[in-house]
Amino acid sequence: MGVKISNRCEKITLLLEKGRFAKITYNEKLALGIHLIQCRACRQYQKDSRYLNKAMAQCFKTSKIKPAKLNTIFKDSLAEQIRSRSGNQ
Amino acid sequence: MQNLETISTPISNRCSLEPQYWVERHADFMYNYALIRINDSDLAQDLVQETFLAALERTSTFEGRSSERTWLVSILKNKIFDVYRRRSSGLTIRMPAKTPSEVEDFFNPDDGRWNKTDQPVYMSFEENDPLREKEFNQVLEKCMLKLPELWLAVFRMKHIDDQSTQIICNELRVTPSNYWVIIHRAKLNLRACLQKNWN
Repeated sequence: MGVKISNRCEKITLLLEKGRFAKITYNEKLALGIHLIQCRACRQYQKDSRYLNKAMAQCFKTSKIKPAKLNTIFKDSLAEQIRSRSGNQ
Repeated sequence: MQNLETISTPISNRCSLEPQYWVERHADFMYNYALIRINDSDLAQDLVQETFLAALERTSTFEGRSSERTWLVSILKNKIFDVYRRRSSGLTIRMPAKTPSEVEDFFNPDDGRWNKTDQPVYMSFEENDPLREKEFNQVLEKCMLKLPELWLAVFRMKHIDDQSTQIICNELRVTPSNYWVIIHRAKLNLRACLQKNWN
């Protein structure tokens, strides 16, 4: 008897996340496949989860596009601090 | 051949540090670097300052093998990891900074099936409408910011820096099994948040 893989949606969706990036066992894959055939909600989750990965990566990347600048006063005072400290060495 | 040349290059010809130009050359870059990773402009500004001052203290450790910027960013990176750790300390996976119901209630505790209200239903994610896409990204960003800091840190490291699972686990001090639980829980919350706020 192999290890029984839980058929709970909770466990299955966790397995699904793990299986996307790490190795899961043959039995786990099998349990996952069988469950997904039977469970529409988990199938939807699978689809959305895949999309979310893409969307999140995109979201982090686009925030890179808007460059922000430090204000001049801060920069000047920082440059001054560096000047005075490196002068002491 | 070229390797030999590099090795024999005198130290003075290697990359050297010029602190007097740091602010001018790197401050905005580093500010942005920090900002997209921690989402807090005041803190990002502080980190830039701390990085420069810390770098000044250890200019002797700079060996000139990398560029000045690479070296400064590596110091900044450590400070960002410190922030991740600080923000998430005391925030274990079983006790996220959310009410337990928000986290635990997706599944029926008895049979492990989806609760009726949390069952994933079809969402029209993938549309080729740039306007809708922009809207979607705004909702997604809002939903992401609602996640506990540790969870968000995991995704930041994963997606912004393409860090491996192992590095993320080490830096954030989470076990590999907790790592998957975090990803899972975060996705569940995110998905639910979108289902509520999108369409």
